[in-house]
Amino acid sequence: MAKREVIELPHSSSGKFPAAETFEKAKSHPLVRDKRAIIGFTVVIVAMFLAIWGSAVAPYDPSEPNTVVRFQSPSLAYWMGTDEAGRDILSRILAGVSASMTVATGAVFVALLIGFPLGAISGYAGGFVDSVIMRIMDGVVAFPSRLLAIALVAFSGASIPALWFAIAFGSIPGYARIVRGEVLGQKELEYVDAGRAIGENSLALLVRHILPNCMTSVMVRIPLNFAHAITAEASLSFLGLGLVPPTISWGQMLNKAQGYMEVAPWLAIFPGLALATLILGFVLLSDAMRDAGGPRYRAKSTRR
Amino acid sequence: MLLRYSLRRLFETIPTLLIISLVVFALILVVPGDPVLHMLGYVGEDIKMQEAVDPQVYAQMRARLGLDNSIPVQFYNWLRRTAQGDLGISLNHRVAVVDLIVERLPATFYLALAALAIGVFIALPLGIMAAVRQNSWVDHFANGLVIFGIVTPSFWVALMAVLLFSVHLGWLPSIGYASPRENPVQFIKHLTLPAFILGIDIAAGLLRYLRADFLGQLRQDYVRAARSKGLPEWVVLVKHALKNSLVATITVLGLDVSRLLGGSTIIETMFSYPGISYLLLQSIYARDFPVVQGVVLFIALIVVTINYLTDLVYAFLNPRIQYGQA
Amino acid sequence: MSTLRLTKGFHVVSILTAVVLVALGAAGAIGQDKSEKPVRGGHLIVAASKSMDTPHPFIGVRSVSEYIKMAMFQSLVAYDDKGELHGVLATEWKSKQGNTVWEFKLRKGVKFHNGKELTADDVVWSTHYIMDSNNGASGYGVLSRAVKEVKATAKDTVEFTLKTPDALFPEAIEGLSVMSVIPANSLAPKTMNIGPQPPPGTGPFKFEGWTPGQTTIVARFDDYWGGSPYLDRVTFKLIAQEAARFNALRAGDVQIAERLTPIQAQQVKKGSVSGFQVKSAGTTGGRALVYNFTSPLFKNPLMRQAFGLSLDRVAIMDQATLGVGTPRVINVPPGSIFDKGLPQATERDLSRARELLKKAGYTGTPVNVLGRRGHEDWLEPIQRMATEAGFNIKLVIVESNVYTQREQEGAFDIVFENTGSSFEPGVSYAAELGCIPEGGARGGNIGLYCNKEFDRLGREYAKESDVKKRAEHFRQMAKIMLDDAALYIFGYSNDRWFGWSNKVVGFSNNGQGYFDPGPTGGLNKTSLKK
Repeated sequence: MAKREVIELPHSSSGKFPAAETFEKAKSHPLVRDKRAIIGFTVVIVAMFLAIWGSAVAPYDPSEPNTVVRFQSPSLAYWMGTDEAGRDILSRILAGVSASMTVATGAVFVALLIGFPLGAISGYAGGFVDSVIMRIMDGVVAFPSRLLAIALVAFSGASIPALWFAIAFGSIPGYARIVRGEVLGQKELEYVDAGRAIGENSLALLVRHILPNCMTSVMVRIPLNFAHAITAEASLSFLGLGLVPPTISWGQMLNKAQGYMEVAPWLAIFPGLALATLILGFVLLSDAMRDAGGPRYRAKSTRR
Repeated sequence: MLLRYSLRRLFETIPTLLIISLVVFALILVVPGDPVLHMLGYVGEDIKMQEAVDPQVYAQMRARLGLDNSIPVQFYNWLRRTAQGDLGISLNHRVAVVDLIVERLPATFYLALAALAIGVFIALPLGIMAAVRQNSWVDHFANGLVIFGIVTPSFWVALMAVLLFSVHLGWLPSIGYASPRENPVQFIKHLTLPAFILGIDIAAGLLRYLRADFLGQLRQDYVRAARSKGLPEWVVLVKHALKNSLVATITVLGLDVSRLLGGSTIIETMFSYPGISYLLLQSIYARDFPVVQGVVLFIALIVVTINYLTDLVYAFLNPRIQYGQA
Repeated sequence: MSTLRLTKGFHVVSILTAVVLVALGAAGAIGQDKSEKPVRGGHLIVAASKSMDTPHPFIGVRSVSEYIKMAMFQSLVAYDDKGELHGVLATEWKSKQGNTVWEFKLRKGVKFHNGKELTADDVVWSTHYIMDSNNGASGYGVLSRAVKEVKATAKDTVEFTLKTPDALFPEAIEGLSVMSVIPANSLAPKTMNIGPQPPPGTGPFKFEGWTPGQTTIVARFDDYWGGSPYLDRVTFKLIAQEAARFNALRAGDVQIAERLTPIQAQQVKKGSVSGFQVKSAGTTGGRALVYNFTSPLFKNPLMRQAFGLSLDRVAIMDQATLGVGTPRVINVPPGSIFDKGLPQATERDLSRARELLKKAGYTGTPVNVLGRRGHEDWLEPIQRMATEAGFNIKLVIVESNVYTQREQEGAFDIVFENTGSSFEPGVSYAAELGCIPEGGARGGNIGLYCNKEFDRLGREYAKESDVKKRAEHFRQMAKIMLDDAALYIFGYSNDRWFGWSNKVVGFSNNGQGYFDPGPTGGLNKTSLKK
């Protein structure tokens, strides 16, 4: 996610402006002054870095067991202690960022990829098409989606793509509804009428004018969706259904830790904290973006 | 106008339910694993298949379970039976699916109800106080609760809570359920931990929403008008803002109910709490398709009904809604 | 007080103790501590890792379902915790005509839960019911393959005529998974929907209630042939998660918990957790890798040998079981007559493994290693070690149903499987590795291994009444298995533990992880302290 894009968000509906002006506006923009945004961004950027280089910066090999140092409590050598196979918890947490981020990014992307066009088509076409798509979306909402994810993953084996679809499934209607709502609103606006008057066809209108203006509300939803996807992945792994070794995932670590809660509580504490920190980052970002988006978005969001 | 709208919305739920049934049936087509083998005890978590199942026995069992029909025929039969209120017989347990659901329903119902009640009881007063006294300790506490609820996965909270309240302090049971009629005290004790863990999640979601909403309301003209009449802040809030926030609150809670029905799987599993989402999970593993179909349809039916009611309440409370739009 | 049970002479000791106690009791002079005297009454709650799927006596009698049903239903004979066959509903059995005819003498005074007395006709009827393919009974395969005819030769004598001589027929029908006895005509043909009304059995407890997927409740049967049990009631409660079972035991919500983990057991032994005791379920959880002989890669013996050489059995066992497992080259009951003169383990030898791989012309084609959920701790080190030797491993870890399907389809190169911990290893390995006719289903022989000499030895084994000679046959079978590298055995994981509260008196599990260790004491000898 590029930082610039986000900063531009609230202004995107008022058209483009020269680059210099962008910078001036950006400096005074609420997102830049908001502490939550700064913390959120930092967490997310660090997470993105670790997702790629997590194993590389880890002090120990995250998978290589060393039975001599089983269940070591946190010390100078092992900051977060070691697990039942004598592996360094810190190293495993660093290596585990990748799984969380990969699964969450994919899940958000898949949900957007399906939800966005569905919403756009539904809102723009209206009538019967709208009805059909929205009924399907109602169906998806009514479906116990977490259970569906469990079923899908259980049946197909927990490959990363399987997790993407399983986790994305439940968040498709959210995007579809937002986009549909925005498109419905935009359709009535003057500039769309103007476009129609000068003879632009529907597709061009949709793609060139309406959709870019939906981005604000969609973007605001993304970080929260990330947080949900990360929780979902951890939950599945915690149930013993998520990613399998050699991939390291925090939920998987917590699943194992359950059995050692008293012998080695650090096995449960640190991955839990890591998980909470990452989710917190996305939630703070989401809050800051929502507030920066202003009352316009908030007012809309009350209506499903 | 409202009546016509409500009828139309009701009519619209039918395709939704049909779509869900179809999806569940389609799922069965692609699912690997054999319900017959599972039922006969050839497959299981720690079971190694010791010998191939006799083809004759296998064929007879499949026929008996109605699994030798083509999928469309099975679907048709299922729809016909379901329309008459018969959800079939569990492959694994050999009892009526309806009975299984009815057996589990009270547990889920009480859990959902308790969780919602806890959520509302925490969120509503805290939301009001936080909005009235912005940046006070109440506000910070509310904020902390929201962050805690959203950031910590419920399974982790459950893990810690069991360790503290059941194992170390011995106050509350770590597993199970008791019927309220047979043993009200045990019922409350069994319900407390899972209900609070789910309730805090709900409270966090609701609080996050309510606080923002109240703050918005306080800036509205009518609130300023009320204030100028010299009414105390909290009266303004309760009398005016709260009423206006009710609509949104109901919507949020409606969504929570759907989440509770299908999404409390982890909590129900961790507490061996015999609710319907645990039943669904068990049936998925056992490839007990009639139960999976029955439970999914049942959950969907409830969620659709709640969405429908939420929409009606929304339409009723908020006359500005355009009835033309679904 | 149950430490004695671990010793070899327990059998003798317990019988002696019983005799002495009865004698003392008759003399009205039981001088024992009062608290040790079993108290009648009480409701015991057992945390089980799985629930009983159906109360049907003949369907779904594997694993925990079987153990729960042992409270209600009984077989003619069963293994005790030492691996010796003892009579349950039969008191003696003998073979005639060179092991083609087996005669079982029934116990006198056995009553069913409905008050009816057990007769030979009930056994004959139950056998016929199981042998009818229409009824879907678990024991259909074993009985219909072995038995030609079954008849009652007297009111208390049943005679099985076999299709081929089998010295181990009683062992084959041991336990509930093959057959149990219910009253004649107590089940209509093709009955599957038992609902909450199963037919009566002969066990110490009778069926009282069952909530599918949750609990099974059984109540004391006062006319039990082994003497009325102490407990009023036993509830088997499903608690699927290990941690939850342990916590429930600690919190006092249950009094016995099944399948605890080694680390939980360690906590109890170290004393950091108190109020209950733990005991290993015995030599359970045999684990092995099975090579697929239809895999283009692994039908080559060089590949199989290389794979074996790339692994460090002891280290893998250590990591996966936290040191409680017993590494073994062949899984046989430890300390038994079969546990002598077996082939020695080969050490890990990476350079030799690489050499063999080169010779086999392996070019890095992905090797699919299939495993099931919950076995990640084994598969992870296997992958790591094999990769070091130059294998390109692709782990496929799936849920049980999918796993079994892939196994039966042969969709794997190597599979990680549970393996034999039977008291007659020759029979179980012959079933696991015996040739399957062209086009036949894999069944127990997942890898489709086939060696005619191995099969011949297996048949000889089954015909042999003398256990010493059987052991000799088995040694030869073991050598062939290893020379062919048919599979790679890790040993016993010993990862199942029982835990029971200090309030529970007289409970003992048997060495196979059952609740009921036969005549020496199980739930029927268990009582609860007030």
